[in-house]
Amino acid sequence: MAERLGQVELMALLAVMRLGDEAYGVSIAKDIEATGSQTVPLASLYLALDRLEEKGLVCSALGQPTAARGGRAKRHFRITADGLAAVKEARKALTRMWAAIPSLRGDEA
Amino acid sequence: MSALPPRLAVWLLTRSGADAALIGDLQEIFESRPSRSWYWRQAIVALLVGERRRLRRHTPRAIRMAVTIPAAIVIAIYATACGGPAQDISGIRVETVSSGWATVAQASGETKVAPVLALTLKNVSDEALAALQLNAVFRRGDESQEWGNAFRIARGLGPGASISDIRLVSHRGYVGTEGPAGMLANSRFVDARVDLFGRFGSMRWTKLGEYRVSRTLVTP
Repeated sequence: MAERLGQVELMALLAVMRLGDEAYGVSIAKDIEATGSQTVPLASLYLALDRLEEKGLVCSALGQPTAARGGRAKRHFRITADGLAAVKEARKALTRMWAAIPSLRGDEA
Repeated sequence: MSALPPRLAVWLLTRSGADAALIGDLQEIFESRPSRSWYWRQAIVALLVGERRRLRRHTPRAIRMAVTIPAAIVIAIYATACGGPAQDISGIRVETVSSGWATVAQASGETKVAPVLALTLKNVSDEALAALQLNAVFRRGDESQEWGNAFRIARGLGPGASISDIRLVSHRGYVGTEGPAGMLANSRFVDARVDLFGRFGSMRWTKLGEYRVSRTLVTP
């Protein structure tokens, strides 16, 4: 049974997939802003990422601290196999729901 | 010249236990797009998100923060930019560094000891230097992850002047029932090291030194 995903969680997961090894807080927030046309406060994004990690859908590791960040390290995120399955399941569910609304089929929306 | 990042916001985030990576991300964005109001909005969201999480577990603390957060918001409204002219960090020299572990809390038979870095700063330039921000990042053993940190501002550095006994005490430490000396002698005690960074205004942080914390007891 795939995990249920909130909207920010799903956007964060997709951003982590797109960014690959470059996925950390700032780059994920910028990706969501650029491709999802939504601005998510960093704290809300971290809350979603923490939930995803608790569910086992992403994992994170700390990089090297840099002076430009006040000696604080970046936290890099990576999607897990369960995370990938959850994204696929979410896409299937959304596709089924869209298909059930005739007037919004295809590109007519 | 861009405005100084709001120190109160940074302090509140640090003390609230916000993820160090989140604070680093906020700083990274602020460096490229300095906006105090943006920083405050982000910080307030972070504080509220953090408190919502703690609310279910620690009600007394939640009540305390329910008072603290609105107060912080009011202060933020009145917070003003206080950035000075750009100054060169190379005019600062770190002298006579010492370190150790200090007893920072004792209650109900438990003692908390935290690592301390004490140092003297000297202005080796021929001009007066404005407020110097110091950020100490503590790590345990060989871990790369931040364990604790301390933030101080050193003022009054005239040409050739020194400020002695600046103490940076980590907000995290060890808690035990054996007493301070017993804790340091415990076989499971893990030593700490500290990276010291400094900067003026909204300049980039510059590493001023890296030190091992000596396993001795000192005053906080």
